[in-house]
Amino acid sequence: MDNLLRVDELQIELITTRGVVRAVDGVSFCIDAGETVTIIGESGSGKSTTAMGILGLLPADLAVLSGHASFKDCDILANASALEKVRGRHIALIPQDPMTALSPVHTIGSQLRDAIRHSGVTGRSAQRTRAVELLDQVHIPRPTDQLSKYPHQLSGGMLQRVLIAAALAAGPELIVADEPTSALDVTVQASILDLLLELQERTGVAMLLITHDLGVARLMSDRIFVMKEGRFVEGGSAEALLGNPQSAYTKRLLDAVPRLDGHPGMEVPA
Amino acid sequence: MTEPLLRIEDLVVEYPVAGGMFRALNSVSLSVDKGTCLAVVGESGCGKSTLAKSVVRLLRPSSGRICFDGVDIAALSERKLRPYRSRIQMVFQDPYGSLDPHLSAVDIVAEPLRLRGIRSSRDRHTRAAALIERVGLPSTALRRKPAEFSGGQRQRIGIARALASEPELLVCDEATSALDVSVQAQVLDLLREIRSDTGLTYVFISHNLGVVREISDTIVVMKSGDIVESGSTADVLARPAQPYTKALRAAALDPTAMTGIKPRDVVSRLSLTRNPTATAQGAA
Repeated sequence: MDNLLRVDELQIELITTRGVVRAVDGVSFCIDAGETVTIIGESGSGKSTTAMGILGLLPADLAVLSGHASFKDCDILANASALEKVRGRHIALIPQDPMTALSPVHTIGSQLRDAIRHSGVTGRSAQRTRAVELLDQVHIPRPTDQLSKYPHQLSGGMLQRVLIAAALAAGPELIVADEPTSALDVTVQASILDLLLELQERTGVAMLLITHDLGVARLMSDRIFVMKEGRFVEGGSAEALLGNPQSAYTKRLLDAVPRLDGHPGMEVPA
Repeated sequence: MTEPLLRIEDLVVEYPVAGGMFRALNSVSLSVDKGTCLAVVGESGCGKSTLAKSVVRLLRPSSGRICFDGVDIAALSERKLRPYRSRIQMVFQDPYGSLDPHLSAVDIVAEPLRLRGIRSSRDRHTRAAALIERVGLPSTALRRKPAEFSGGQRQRIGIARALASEPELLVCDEATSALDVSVQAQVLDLLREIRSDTGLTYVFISHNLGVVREISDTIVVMKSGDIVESGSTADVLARPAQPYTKALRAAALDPTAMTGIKPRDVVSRLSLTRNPTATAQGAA
């Protein structure tokens, strides 16, 4: 099988002041090209730790990883230089909080250029052209004017678009999105999710989505895994899992979602 | 007709900004009957938190009236406001930032009791312990400090502290937004229980229409400092009249309502715009 990303029996232990905590306890899943796989769970379930562990973004002296993770059959868990080669080029990250993920003292243009340089584009004017192109792809109005702006001059939704543009810089095959819309208003969230779906349709990029929002998971995913206390309690196609949950925990999560009414705003516009 | 517990008329709040005044509330009027729950919904920056802060008089409105139990408190001096402070209480959005990290849970809840003039520390302790039990925390919680509690437990302490004043009106500013869905459901249950026990009146600020539907009787939808739609919660959510309310309604993703729909179909069904200029706004 040629999965894009394959994770086998991933286990992550974190060294904390209260001793060693097994945050991720034997998690296995795979993502095929173009597919969206979502891990849902509540705070502390280990969903973000799983994603950060795969990307090698946990502090090396405080996290102990075991198991296997391979990207296109190349081991990225054991082999740091292999991970370095794919990260930022073939695998990109969209972080949770757009307000803190960008440096407040550098312009949008200069931060975008860092990502573009990393992807191998050389020459200032070529990088600038690419930056404008990327901002245009994520539908930021008047992209040329935005390059000289600082993060505080843009709204949260616009900053999230800038981060998505940075993630797209190298034309990745897999995007890891860690709670990409949790810090945003509902209508802004909808427009960002829409953008991600559009980019996926156009480029065929696969996505590992981390969220606590069952509605977001249902909208975006082909397959969903439900995580609790470091383990997957259930996994399957988005439709089957949320339409007909098997585990008591998934049922409980679904029951806890405040309902709008029996048949909410899904009416097809004429 | 009895007088509503809270009646707001033509409320205007302006903040000074570079080059003039920013009008955060633009002549807002609403009323809340005793024992009911009014939800205020809208997005960041629509003025809903400014409205909450005005009602508890954490800020002084520029003009207009806030009549609480028949008395206009909008412009009362701090001294004259004093008796009303305990009758109107607030539960804050951030359970981490709104509790003093140095105090134990029982001391946090006992503080308003001291302000209410209960002299004996033993009485205060007994009452605070009863309140902490009332919000569903174990007796082992009394001596613990905020850092030792989870987010949901901290929000319960915030509710116990608000209840200590025996308020008639409780303003909840995004009180469950920072919580996980199962914890949110428990806190909403608690708020409903307290209402049926004590007849407490709520102003519930939220951006989550699902939450609002569960807890409120009436609703006002705010946009850019104006109320754009109001009415009974059931009516407004079932038949939103304003495009803005419809957009909010469509953007609320209900996982169970999407069954039978392919993921990529949902966006087109939501008829979302791919043009972001509707949501594009450079922050000031």
